Order: sequence, then structure tokens, then C-alpha cells
Amino acid sequence: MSQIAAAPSTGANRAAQLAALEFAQKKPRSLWQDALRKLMRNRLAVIGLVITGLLIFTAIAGDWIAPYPYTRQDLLRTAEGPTWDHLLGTDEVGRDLLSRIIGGARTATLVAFISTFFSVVIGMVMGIIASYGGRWANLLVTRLIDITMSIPTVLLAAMIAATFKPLILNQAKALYATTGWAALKNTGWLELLIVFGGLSVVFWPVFARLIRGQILSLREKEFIEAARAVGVPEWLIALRYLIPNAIGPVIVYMTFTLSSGMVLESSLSYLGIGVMPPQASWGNMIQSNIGSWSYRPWLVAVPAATLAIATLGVNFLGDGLNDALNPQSQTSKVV
Amino acid sequence: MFKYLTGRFILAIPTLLAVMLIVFTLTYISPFDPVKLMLLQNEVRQQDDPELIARIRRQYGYDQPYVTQFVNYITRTVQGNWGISINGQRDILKAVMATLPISAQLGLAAALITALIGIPLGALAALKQNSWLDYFIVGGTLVLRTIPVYVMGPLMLILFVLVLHWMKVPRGWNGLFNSQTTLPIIILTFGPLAVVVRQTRQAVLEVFSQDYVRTAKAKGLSTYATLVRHILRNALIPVVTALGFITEGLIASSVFLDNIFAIPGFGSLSENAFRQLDYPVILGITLVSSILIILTNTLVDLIYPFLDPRVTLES
Amino acid sequence: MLPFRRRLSVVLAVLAAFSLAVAVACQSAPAAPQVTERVVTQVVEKVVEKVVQQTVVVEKVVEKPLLITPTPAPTQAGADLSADQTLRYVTRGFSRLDPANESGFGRFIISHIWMPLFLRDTKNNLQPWLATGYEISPDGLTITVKINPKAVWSDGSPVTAKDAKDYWTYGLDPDQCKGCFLGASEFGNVKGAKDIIAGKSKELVGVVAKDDKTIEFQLAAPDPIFINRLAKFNTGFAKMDDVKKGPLYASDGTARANGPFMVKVWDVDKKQYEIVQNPKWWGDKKPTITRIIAQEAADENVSFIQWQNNEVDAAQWLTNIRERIRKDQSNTFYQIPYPTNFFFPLWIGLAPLDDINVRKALAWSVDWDKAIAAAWEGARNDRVMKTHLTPELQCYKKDNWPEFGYNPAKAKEALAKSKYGSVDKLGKIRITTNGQSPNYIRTAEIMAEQWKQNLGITDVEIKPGTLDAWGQDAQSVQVRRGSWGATIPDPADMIIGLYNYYSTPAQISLKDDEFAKLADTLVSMKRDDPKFCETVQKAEAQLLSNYYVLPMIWDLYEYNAKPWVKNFGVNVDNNWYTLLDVYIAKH
Repeated sequence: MSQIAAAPSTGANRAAQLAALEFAQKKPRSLWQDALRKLMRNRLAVIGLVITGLLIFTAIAGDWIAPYPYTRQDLLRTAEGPTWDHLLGTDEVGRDLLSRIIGGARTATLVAFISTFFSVVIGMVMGIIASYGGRWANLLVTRLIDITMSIPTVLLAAMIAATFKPLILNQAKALYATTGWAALKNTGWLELLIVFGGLSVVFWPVFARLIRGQILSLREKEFIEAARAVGVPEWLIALRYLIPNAIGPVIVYMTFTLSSGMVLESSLSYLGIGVMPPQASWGNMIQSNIGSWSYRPWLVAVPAATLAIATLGVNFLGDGLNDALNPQSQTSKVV
Repeated sequence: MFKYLTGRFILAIPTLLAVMLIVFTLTYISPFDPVKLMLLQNEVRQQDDPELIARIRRQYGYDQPYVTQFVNYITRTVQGNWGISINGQRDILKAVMATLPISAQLGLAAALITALIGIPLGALAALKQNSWLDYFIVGGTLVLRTIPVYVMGPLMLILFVLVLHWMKVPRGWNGLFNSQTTLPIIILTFGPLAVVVRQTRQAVLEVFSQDYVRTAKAKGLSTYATLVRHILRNALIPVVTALGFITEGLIASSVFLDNIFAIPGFGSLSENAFRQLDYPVILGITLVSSILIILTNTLVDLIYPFLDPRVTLES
Repeated sequence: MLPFRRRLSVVLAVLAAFSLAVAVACQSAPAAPQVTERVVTQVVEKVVEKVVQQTVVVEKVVEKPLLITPTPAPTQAGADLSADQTLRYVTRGFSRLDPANESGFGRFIISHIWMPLFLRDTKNNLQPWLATGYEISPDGLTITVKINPKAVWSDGSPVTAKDAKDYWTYGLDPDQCKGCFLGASEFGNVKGAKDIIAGKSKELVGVVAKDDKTIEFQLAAPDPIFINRLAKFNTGFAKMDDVKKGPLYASDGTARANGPFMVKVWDVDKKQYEIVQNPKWWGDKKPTITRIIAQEAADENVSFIQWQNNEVDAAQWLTNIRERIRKDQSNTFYQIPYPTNFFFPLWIGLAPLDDINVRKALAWSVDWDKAIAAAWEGARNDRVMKTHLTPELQCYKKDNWPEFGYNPAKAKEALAKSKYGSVDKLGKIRITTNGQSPNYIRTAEIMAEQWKQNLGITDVEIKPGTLDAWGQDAQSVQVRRGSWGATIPDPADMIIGLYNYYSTPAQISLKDDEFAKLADTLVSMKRDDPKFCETVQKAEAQLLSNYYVLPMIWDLYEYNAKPWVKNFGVNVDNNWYTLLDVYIAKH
């Protein structure tokens, strides 16, 4: 383990320099093509990809593929089991369960992607600043991480939503009044954006810490030291070697955030700040039927199973991506 | 070491102050009026009596300017006077001190069991990468994590109480080493288990591919010796990192658990506070949670160098 | 490879051993007491086998499913008496244990700890309780009540008229008894009470302690049902020396009781209280039950599992969880004859509900029978709220709500007639369910959908949970779920109380001079006056013609008690009125 690391200490050794450069350049060029090939070879990852693809497709095309509008009620046919005209049966107020599940897919996808996207972006930027911004930036960011992580997730999200939602919605109302933009007429999506965008204020420190931790530990690695020794600029090292190498754990955690977002959505709705009826959400569907699980089990089982499958799918895809994207797991089959 | 610890604790003070400032500010600018909530929750009939509202505002110091209120709040808190809850008229510090040890014991037990089960399972999954065992371990723990606590609780109760007749419905708190805590602890581990399993699996896979492991193997060490000597220690790093997040997850899921099993823990205190927007209690809870999380993170940073000698305490 | 596999099996074995240990830990402790219990019961069973058979006939009478709680001749406790007379009870949260402050979940027992002067039996007849009787002066303004001369506190000291006066003064004073429920509906007619409630006075002049056992009430106006007011659980009284210890004074078992039972411990953290017999109980009839363990279960799934596992003898559930045992275990249901309205009061000051035509349109466009059948899973089909008075109350008149009924065409007309004219000008309608009950949420969802189908209204927002969830918008929520019950089972008192409550600015500021006039007549009208019912019905119709509520149901609360809880019975106050006769039979 000491051959490469020892090389820089002997000075500008040309052979070592070349070796280091070769070592460092081996991966990035074909990283993404490689990754795709590896991904498609992984059975579970393909299943995950299919499930995730289906989830996104359902979310986008929901209105066209759902057999009924997801709010239409038939009060004479409540809580029925599966029949030909209602393939998954009907819910407690006679709505088609399949259509509700499809409607819930949109909510889940939207919520998961909004919260994850913003938190990854913020987290990566902060993590990189902490690692490269010098002592004070590091101190500031780590303090900020500590502060944010010290406040319980649900509480912070709830307070942000409660405090800022009214302010932003009023702004939107005023904007609609002056501009008449059709996008602002129905503020339902805006509320979702605020509430679950608010989640990213809570989620980002996880990513920032992961990135910072990875970079700190990778920086000490031999090939980075080698690259540094041969004079590769620090920013190039970061861009080409550190970040691609650090992204593995980020992806692992991202898939967790995606699924956490879906699950947390139900807790927030429970506290009265999430998705509200008659909007469809899997969490709400479980919640409102948990009291009658013993005589209407499918009303709990169907959304719970859907949530589980969706979460598994996203996670399997994440695993696969991680195996594929992380250059170091190339030769990971040692046993 | 001592110097480092002192440094960490000195750093923790401004962090705590900042947390208090943020939460206090959020409650201050939030559209919810604590006095009106107080009247609403106590079901006082004269809710719109301006004289009454003004009197309560004066009593609680809500008529003071923002800075004065905040300074007063900090001063009172440091002096150990955390105020009284809006609805139950309970002393907050006393309530916290009564509930926290219970939840802390449950949480620690759950964290320990999570590590004890999760690390071997994760390592096993990595060793058997892409086998059905791997899929089963990773998928199974994920499913456990996905099922909300309020579904899992009744399900486990039905299984253990009505089907297997192994126990009565566990209620309340009679110490950690009591059969009543078994179910709550099991359910508590379901959340973080998937995280630990996957972090371990991931880490073991990564360490396997490291040069020094390859070197070690080339030197003729058996797989098992390699695993113990090089891999597990390094694999622990991300797991330990995750423990920080896990603490917070435990706080969150104890909210539902306390409800189900009537545990007089921190979770039931928090749930009531959130539900009723009991500001004094929310501030107290936030403060305590923050101290807890800061302590965990300090601990994590302390453990780091032992696992990875290349990371030093000063960095 | 191979050595590793072997090592692997060691790891797996450790894991398996660990899970086994967990399983054993689950199993060990609770099993032991259960076994001993079983042994004991078996022994007793053998001894009394014959006698049990003889009592079967009597048991059947008690177990018959009944709509209205009966007062059967109590089954005499005989050889079927269980060795352990502990009654285990579970319900939702209880937060207070103080008569003036009692609002809900302590009602089952509180009148047996701190006795009101009178108590209603299961058929709403007034019975002497702490008092032995009363006298009313010819002008109806002075009422003299005699406290039972034998009555003593659990420390042996006599219960005095002064104890009562001191406690009521405390209970009415908003500065002392914060958020308390004792108030105008009990003592409003007593001289000086209103001043205390308003914070203007500290002296309850209308209550005079004539001697240790005689209380004189001086009324500001005649009140034919005043004695009824003295039968409400909020008028029971505790010893002021105890009350002064603070809101949790009853938690450590030192609080003195004057009823057959007293609190041994109220463990606020464990959410449990233990109630035991009062050793100084002075009444002639002695209780058989020795102990009541009352538990709080926030999650009704859990308390239902306790019930299924026979860990509790009695329970009260608020959700539909009990519906699944209504058929198989109908003999465990005991309806509480407490007449209530569950409805959605409309904030008539807020647009667009400031126009009565909009309110009418909203009421007429919903098929309430279908809605309630769906939302309550068929369990309340005959309890759809179509008037304020419920069938249990005197003077109930079917369909006394003018023009009420499902009629989409008429609803559309009404909407067109309103000053808003069309749907797009209505603006957002906000609904809060004031609670997470699935029944309320379903009803709200059904209302919204039917407004959409029948009127084309789409801008409706529903938030389950309390008003708090609305934040800044809370002031603009027009439809808020509420409830009102006849705590005194008197039709006039119920609707007048309802109006007085909702006419305040904190509520919906309903103003109806016509109704107020009728109410003035009703207050002092004799209940056996031949015109009484006619006037009540006229007043009710007048009130409902304002269309200030959207209906839900006349709810009836229920207790569930296992078949071995004998002589169980409930009065209008949710109080276990027959508790002195209750015993646990062998099971």
C-alpha cells in the first residue's frame, strides 16, 4: 500500500508522475457509459429502474390512464372489494381505489423529487464550500450544519411551512391579481412546493456532511496525493476525482431521502400541513383507514404495499446506480 | 483530547444560541398568536375580550419588543426557569427531566441493537453481493423501514398479543429491562436498521476494492482476517456517521411509539406540544433535542479518529 | 472461501441466538402472573359451579341489547362473584380531575368521588345524591337544599355547606379556576354568579350556608329546572384545602372525597388512574367493586386489542372501531342517553356565507342520508341530524327544520338568487373538521364532492385537524365542525344554550331577535305547561330557519362492558350511575 504514496516524497520522479496520471485518468472518461452498461447488468437495478420509470410515467400520465377521476364518489358503493369496473375496489367514500393510487403516485413523486432535488443541490454546494473554502468557511458551514441538524426535522419543517406559507401565498395572490398568470390561479401546487421545498431546508445537512466527510477522507488517499504532487490544480482534483468519487454515498442517501420524503409526507399531512383531502396521497389513504383495518384490510394494504414497492424500486435503482457510478466498486467482487 | 473536548463544548454554546434564536424567531413571526391559542385551548369563553388578552400578554411578557423577549427567554432558560406549558400548566423543565431519561434509554437500546444486527447483516449482504440473500436483507430491512410506525405498532401487537399470546399489550414504563419495552425497542430499530445495513454494505464493498485490501489479500491473508482487520473498522466510518442521523430519527418515531404504548417519554411530550402549538414547550423540546444531537455529533467526531487514523480531531 | 463460510455460520448463529433472546425476553415476564390467575379462577369455578347455573336466567335479562339504557332491578351478587373486584377501563385521554374543570373523560366516575347534590338515574329521573331533598319557596326564587347529615369527607370531617360554597366560588372565578366548565349554564340564575364569571366580584352572594348542612340558593329569576342544574357533574365539590395545591391536586391520593370512591393515584405520565373505595363512605349502600384502573389509550387500535385480549372490562371508543363487534357482541354495548348534535356551524359573518341563500344552497345540495350512511359505515343511518332536538328529548318533533331536505334543483335556484349569483364569484370555502376523526373527514369530503356535482363549486379546501392548522387563514374558515349536547336533558335549556353560545362574537355572531323573544318566555316556563312543547318547537324551527349549520348526526356515545360486568348502567352525564350495584362475575 505504500508504493504509490511513497513516490511523491522522493521528489519529481517522472515515472511516478506518469503512473499517478494514468491511475487518475483511468476512470472518468468512460464513467457514464460504463455505469449504464453495469446498471443494465444488475437484475435488481433493472427492476428498480422499471418501477421508478413506471412511477414517473404514472405521475405524468395519471389523468389519462386513471379509469375514473380520483375524486368521483359513489356513495352507494363504498369500501367494495375488487370488481370488474373497479379493479382494486372502492375506498371509504366510494372512490375508485386504483384511480386514487394513481393520483397518489403523482403526489408521492412530486413530493419526493422536490424535497430531494433542493436538498441535494444545497447540500453539495455547502459540502464543497466546507471542504475548500478554507478554515472560516469550514467552520461556518459545519456550524450551520450542526444548527440545522440540531432541530428536529418535523418541527422545523412544520414551523417553516406555517410561517412562510402564508407570506408566499399572499405574494402569489397579489402577483396573480396584477399579472393574471394562469399558473397562479390554483395555488395548490405552490403549497406543495413550499411545504416540501421546506423539507430540503431540513434534509440538506445530511448531504453536506456526507460530501464533506467523503472529501476529507478521499483527500488523504494515495491517488489524490499523487495527483496533487504532480501539480494538478486543487479545483481540477475536486471536479474530476473527488466529487465523482464522493457521489456514491450521496446517491445511496438520496434514495433514502426520496423514500423518506414519501413517508414524511404522511406525517406532515397528519399534523395538518401536508397534502389535504380530497387530494390523493398514499400516506393519507393509510391514515384514514387504519382504524378499520380488520374489516377493510385492502384499504390499508393497497396503499401501504404501493408505498413499499415504490420505495423499494427507488432504492434498488439507487443501489444499482451506486454500484455502477462508484468507480471503486469496479472490482468489488472479492469473495 | 481534553483541549479538543473543551473546544467542542465552547463551540456548542453559540450553536445552541443560534438554534434558540431560529426557533424563537420562527415562533415570533409565525401567524399563530400564542395568547389566542392559550384562550382557545383552555376553552375560555371570553375569547375576544381585549382586556383579558392584554392582561395575559403582559403576564407572559409578550408585549415586550422582540429583542427584550429573546434576552428574557435566554436568561430565564439559563436560570432553569423554562416556564409553564400553555394547557397543562406543567413545569416544562420538570416535564423534560421526567420524560427524557425514558426515551434516552429506549433510544440507546434501539441504537445498540440496530448496530448489533445491522452491521453483521450489512457485511453479510456485501459478501454475498447480488445474491438472493443480499436482495432479501436489503429489501427486507427497507420494507420494515417503509411501513409507518402507526401501522407497524398495531400489526406487531396483533401478532404478539392476539395471535402468539406471548404478552399482554405492553403499557407504560417500568424500567428498561422489562418485557414491556421489547416491542417498542424492536419497532424503534426498524427505522434505522435499513440505513445501517446499507451503509455497512456499501462501505464493505468499497473497502474491498481498496488497494490495501487487495495488497493484504495478495499477501495471503484469509478473507475473514481481511474482513476483520481492514474492512470492518473502515466500514464503521459511514455507520458511525449515520448514527448522528439515527438519533434524530429515534426522536421522531418515539412520537408515535409513545402514543401507542403509553410510554411517558419525550415523544408524547413533543406530540402534545406540536399538536397544540404549545410554544413554551416547543421551545424547551427544541433546546433539549438540540443538546442531544450536538452531543451525539461530538461523540461521532470523537470516534472518527479511532476508526480512521488519517482523520485527526483538529480537521 | 470455505473457512469464511464456516465463520459466516458462526455470525449467523450469533444473530439467531440474539433474536431468540429477544423472543424469550418478550415471553418471560408477563406469562407468570397470567398463569397464577388462571389457577385461582379454576379453583373458584369448581366450588361455585352449581350456583352459576342458577343465576343464568337473571343474567340473560341484563345482557339483552337495548337501545335506551334500562334500570333493571340489580342482579344480586351471589356465588358468581369474582374473587377480584377490580374493574379495568380504557378510554381516550383524560387531562383533568377536578369537578368544575371536568369536560369529558372523567365523567364516568367523578360524581362518585365528589358528589353533586343530586344525580340523574339512567332514565333521567332526579335522585338525591349528596343531598337528601330540597324545598322551593312559593315565588320560586329561594331554594333550600339539605345535605345528607351523615355525609363526611374521606378524612372523617363532616361535609358542610361552606365547603360547597367555597368550591363553587372558586369554580366560577375565571382567575382561579382557569378554563373551567362550571359556569352560567349551572349557576347563571344564582345571584352574584354572573359577576364572578365576568371577573367583577369574588363573592357568591346567592349561595348562603344556613347551617352546616343547609344551603340556600337565591335566584335572580324563577328557574323551573334549577334542581336539574344541581345534578350536573360540574357542581360536585372538592375540599378547597386540596384544590389550592394546584391543578394536579388529585394526583397523589391525598385529595379528600365525599363519595363512595376516591382517587388513590393519578399517574399523569403513565396516563392511568387508580380509584379505590372511600374507607369513610357514609352511604347505606356499599360498593362491591374495590378498585377501578382507568387507562388512557390515545390510539384506539391499541385499546381495541386490549379489549379483544380481555385485558379490560370496560371501554369507551370514539371512532368506528367498535362497529365490528356490534353484531357479535351486542350485549356489551351501553348507550349513553346524552343527546348531542354533531354538525358544521357556518361562520355567517364571512363571505360568501353571509348570504342565507348560499347557506341554503349548501345545505340542500347534499344528500345527507347517503352521506351519513357512507361516512359512518351505516352505523348512524337513523341518527342523521334533521333537527336540534333529538328523539330522546321531550318535545322532539320530526322534520322541524323548515324546508330542509336534499334538492339539487332548489339548491341551484337558491344560489342563483343569492347576491353572488354564480359559482365563480363565491370565492374559496374553507372547512376544518376540528379533529382527526375519519367520520368528520369523510363527511367533509362528501360535502365538497356533492357541491361540485350539484352546484359546480370547486374552490373548496378541507383541513383535517384543528383550526390551528390553518395558520393565518384561521380567521377566514367559514365551516368549522362543532358539537352541542344537552348536558341537562331539557329541550328549552338545550336550544337556548346553543343560541347563547353561538351568538357570541367568538363563535358565529348569530342574531335572531325572534328566537331571543321566544327564549325569554321559555326560560321561566313551567315544563308541564301545555304550551311548553309548542313554544319549544316554534323556537327550534325559528333557529334552524337561519340555516346556520350543516348537519351531521345526533351522536350517541356508548360504553362497552364485558358480559361479566354485571348491573352496568349509564346516565345522561356519561356517569356510571349504577356503580354501587356493579360487580364482576366469574369469567
